[in-house]
Amino acid sequence: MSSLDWIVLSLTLIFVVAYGIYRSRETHTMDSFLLAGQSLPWYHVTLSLMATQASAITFLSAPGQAYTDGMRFVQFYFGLPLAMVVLCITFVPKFGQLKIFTAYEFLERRFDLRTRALTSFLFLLQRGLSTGLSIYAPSLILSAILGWDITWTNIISGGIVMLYTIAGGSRAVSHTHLQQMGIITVGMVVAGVMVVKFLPDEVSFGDALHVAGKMGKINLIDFTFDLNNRYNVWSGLIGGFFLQLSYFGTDQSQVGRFLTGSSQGQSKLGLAMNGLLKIPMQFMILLVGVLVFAFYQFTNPPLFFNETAVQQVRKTEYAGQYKALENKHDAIQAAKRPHVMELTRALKKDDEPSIERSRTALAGIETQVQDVRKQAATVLSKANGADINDVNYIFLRFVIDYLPVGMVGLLIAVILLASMGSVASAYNSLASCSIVDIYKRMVHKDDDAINYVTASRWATFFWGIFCIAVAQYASRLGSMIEAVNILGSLFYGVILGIFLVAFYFPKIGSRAVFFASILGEIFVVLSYWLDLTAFLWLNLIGCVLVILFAWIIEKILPQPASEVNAL
Amino acid sequence: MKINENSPQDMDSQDRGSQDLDAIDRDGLPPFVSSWKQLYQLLIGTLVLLIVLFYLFMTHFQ
Repeated sequence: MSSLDWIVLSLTLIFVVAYGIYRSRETHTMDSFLLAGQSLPWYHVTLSLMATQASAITFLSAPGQAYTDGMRFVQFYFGLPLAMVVLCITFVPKFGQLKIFTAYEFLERRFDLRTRALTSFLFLLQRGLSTGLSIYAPSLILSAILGWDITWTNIISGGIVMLYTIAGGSRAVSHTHLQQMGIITVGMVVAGVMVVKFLPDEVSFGDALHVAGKMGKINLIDFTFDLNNRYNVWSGLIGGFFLQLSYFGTDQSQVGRFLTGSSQGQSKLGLAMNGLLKIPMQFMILLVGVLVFAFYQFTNPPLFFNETAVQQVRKTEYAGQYKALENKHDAIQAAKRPHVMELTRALKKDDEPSIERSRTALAGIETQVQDVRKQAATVLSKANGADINDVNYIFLRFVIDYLPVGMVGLLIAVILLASMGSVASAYNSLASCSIVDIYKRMVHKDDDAINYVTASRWATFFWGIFCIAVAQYASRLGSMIEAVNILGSLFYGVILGIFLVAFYFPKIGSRAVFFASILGEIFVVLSYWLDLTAFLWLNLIGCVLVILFAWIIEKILPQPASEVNAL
Repeated sequence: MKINENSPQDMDSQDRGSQDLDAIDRDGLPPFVSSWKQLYQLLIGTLVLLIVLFYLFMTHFQ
């Protein structure tokens, strides 16, 4: 990176971190540390929800996924607006009425302490692990660019977030989210414009989309119902609905965001606006990935986008093998270029036979490209002793290789800020659960408010260290965005099932739901282990199983009505 | 004949009560909708519209 890039990156980060620490004033009570004093307007809630969900993984993996797999990933979010409606109608009024700090506090009032403890534990486990992945994502960038040791990169990037989260708690988190989302939006729009600008003069924005579309990358909608197909309309609407409902309604990192609203109305509007904006935002990010794909149809792409792995293979006995694959890849790309240009010309003339001819030729060539890339990945895996995947490097490599001075720094800042947003919410929610659901409830019941704030700060510190430790093991995963969603799907369905029983089955008691949730979790893990279905459906399976098992257990071993608190 | 069992004072407090409830219910509601139900309908309608637009976008460029 140039000096100007360093200046842009440093100033952006210093501004956001300093602002977060500045907002740490007036944070002396648990209410202000964990819920920002429940004083924020709807737009704060919306942007905070979006910043929490959109991690660095979103901006690294999603464009790369569009490049390799097309835009079909957008269907994953179709269940989100529906989930927002259910949250506004059911969850927000109930949580607001009970004036709770964490979602799991509600479960103790409805069921018992062990159900609250079980869900808190599942949350802490899942969120702690996935936050480790969120820290790893930007560390990957810094280590790739600067050649830093990944261990120290994880410590530094995870540690910066700890600074303002420990100092300012939820208030600092929400206020920094506002700045982060502003900078992220500007950065991504500029990146999209720059990709179009780098296309050859005779290729317009529409031509680029036509080329990408003809090569199968604008596969936005798939109505086929297939349980083993990860992304189609039905898995998005049904599986995605259950995942998003569970994520926003029962994951404290999101519940803690909408509980900061100054009233139930502000929280509801914040959620509704999130439902309105999320899909278009995800579409735009994927579109940037498709434009990068179109750009590389006119410019020679690298055989493998992870430059660090390529540098390593050059020092091993596999260097010759890799070089041969690079030459083969270059030859295929050179053969592809005339067909791409012919397709562009045919599209301008609306010459259908020529379009079809070019498309068939390009489909064949694209298969060859993918074959060579697979062979390269195998060689790199052998040389590095681990599975190597370059999906997360595609967008980053484009940014570094082609964006002008200053812009690289801004885009790196965008990715780091996105990471900081989601990691900060996660630290805050992990601390909330640890203190409210465990420490305050089971260890020190009647302590001073200031001591609880101090304990919350220590809990934030502990979870920061835990998440950084997890980040060290994240490098062996493939697409990180999928890894996070798979991890969530293993737990979210069961947790959602517990909440739905709490809301909609007033006659089911604590004993039934507790054992149902343990059985449900075992079935979900087995389903994933045995690869019975695509991961999105695990949310539905977990949720339905908990409700079903709880109903059956309650029928067989009914709990006395006096012990059931329907709220 | 039953005209009105409530005193003017009761009516005032009832009106104020219902106005307060109305104000609480309308808190956060954007000006372009008249109820939360309408906002939820708008949200679902937008989702359907997006799916249709994405489908048209896909078929146009494929």
